Amino acid sequence: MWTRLRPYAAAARSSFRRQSTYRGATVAGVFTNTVFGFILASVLRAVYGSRGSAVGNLDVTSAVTFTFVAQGLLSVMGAFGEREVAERVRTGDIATDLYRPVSFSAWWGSIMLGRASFSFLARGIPPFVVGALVFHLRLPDRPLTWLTFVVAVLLGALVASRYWLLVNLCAFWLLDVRGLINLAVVVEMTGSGFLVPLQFITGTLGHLLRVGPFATMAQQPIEVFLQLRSGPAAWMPQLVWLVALEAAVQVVLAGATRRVVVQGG
Amino acid sequence: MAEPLDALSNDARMVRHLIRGRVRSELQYRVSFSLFLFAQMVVTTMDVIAIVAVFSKVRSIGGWSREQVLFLYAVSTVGFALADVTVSSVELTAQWVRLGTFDRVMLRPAGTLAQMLGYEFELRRVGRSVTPLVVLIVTARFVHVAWTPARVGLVLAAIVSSALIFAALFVITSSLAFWIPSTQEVANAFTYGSNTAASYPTHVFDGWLRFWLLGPVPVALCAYAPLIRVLGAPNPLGLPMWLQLAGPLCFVPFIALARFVWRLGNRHYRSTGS
Repeated sequence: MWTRLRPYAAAARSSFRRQSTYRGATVAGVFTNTVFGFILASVLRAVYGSRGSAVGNLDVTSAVTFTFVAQGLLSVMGAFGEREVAERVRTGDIATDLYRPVSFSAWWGSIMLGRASFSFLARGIPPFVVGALVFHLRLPDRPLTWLTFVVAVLLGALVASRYWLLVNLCAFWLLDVRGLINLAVVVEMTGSGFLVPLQFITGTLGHLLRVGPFATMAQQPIEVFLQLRSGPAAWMPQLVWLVALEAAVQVVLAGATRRVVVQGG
Repeated sequence: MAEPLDALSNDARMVRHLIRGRVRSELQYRVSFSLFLFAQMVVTTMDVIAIVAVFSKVRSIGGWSREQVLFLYAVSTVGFALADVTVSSVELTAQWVRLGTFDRVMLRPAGTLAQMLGYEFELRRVGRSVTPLVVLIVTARFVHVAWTPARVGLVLAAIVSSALIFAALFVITSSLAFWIPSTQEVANAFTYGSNTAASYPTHVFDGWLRFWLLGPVPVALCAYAPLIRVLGAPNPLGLPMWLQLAGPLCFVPFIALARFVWRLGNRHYRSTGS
């Protein structure tokens, strides 16, 4: 068992290490996330100021906390779009990946997870800490919540990695996926709660988004953090979407590999 | 006097040539071009979605109605989009400096900034201005303003002023690449962050953010200040009348600063030596 898992662990570890070498970019990213956290938190406070009551189950403290947790999770979920696999399809490097005696989908999942783990530590925590120094934020009062939150983030990151893999694999059929990836970013940002907490989106659309795959990346883990949702109950939709998207990846991958033509081979 | 003018017209001619070439090459791949144009359009709708979503729960933010906030967003973002399409290619300076290809720019008998703007010009970025333009035109009818030439003039001044200050911000943040590599994300906080913050009435911010928007990077003076006057919107910060009218002029020192920092960076540039 362990020998079979070893290459994936190695991929995750080296991707974690690679990510950790971009120190300047990490600091810069934290700075940007924090600034955006301040801007969005201020806007939300003004909204609550003129409303005077909670939005759904979100009061002003929860909403501001939501913003800072969300800013920390952006890079964990690759919210601005992953492009690496599509780039490898374009250049043809993907052939090497498909040669490897490992599962393609698990291989890329490990790489994305390694990156996400580093992001969680280095880019997730600092904006929240700075936010907590200035705003009144709500911390979980049950110690167990921290643990269930970390699991929910992990599951969210796994769903996110399946989603981006799926979008990137479209490069096998489209020459230029940049447009598609941008579109995928907008859908994911709106549907996940990264743009605004889903409590703010009313009607059928809001309802659909709350049970959709994107809510697993931000809305659900953050609701666990805010203790609006208990851990195991939050994991269920995440697990369901994880299985569904992984199945979709397998189907797309089967179609895609039939299209690979290796030059000179 | 003739010399700087000659240099300027030389630069303008060269930029025109470079841009024409870039556009022609872009249009060779029409599907790719239209897809990217569309994608840029879609990305900018995110801000509108956020504003509309928030206003489904409240009638006003800081006393400003949904239409007023959308109008402010549109004025500021049309300005931002203008700067983005014309000047944001300067952001590639970081890459050129790192690869050493900036040598090429230094060697040619034309302004370095003008060259950077021309080499990496991308027409498809125009897509970014579509959404804010549509919002601007639509909300102009719903903000209950009698559109006199003076008011239209002030709105145009706000747009031009926003464009110029964001253009200056693009140049200043990109110039930092001459000293520190990989500053792109910090630059984003200044450029995109300022754009987001300028899309909401400045009085919803407090502390250093408000100070920032009115002082060091006065994007609020470009759009928010004149729009108080144009829209007759609440003015809890009590910005005086002269500031509402003259606010759009705040870009002037910024253009000078951008010019200065860019030149300083050029002087500091050392090639990769290969």
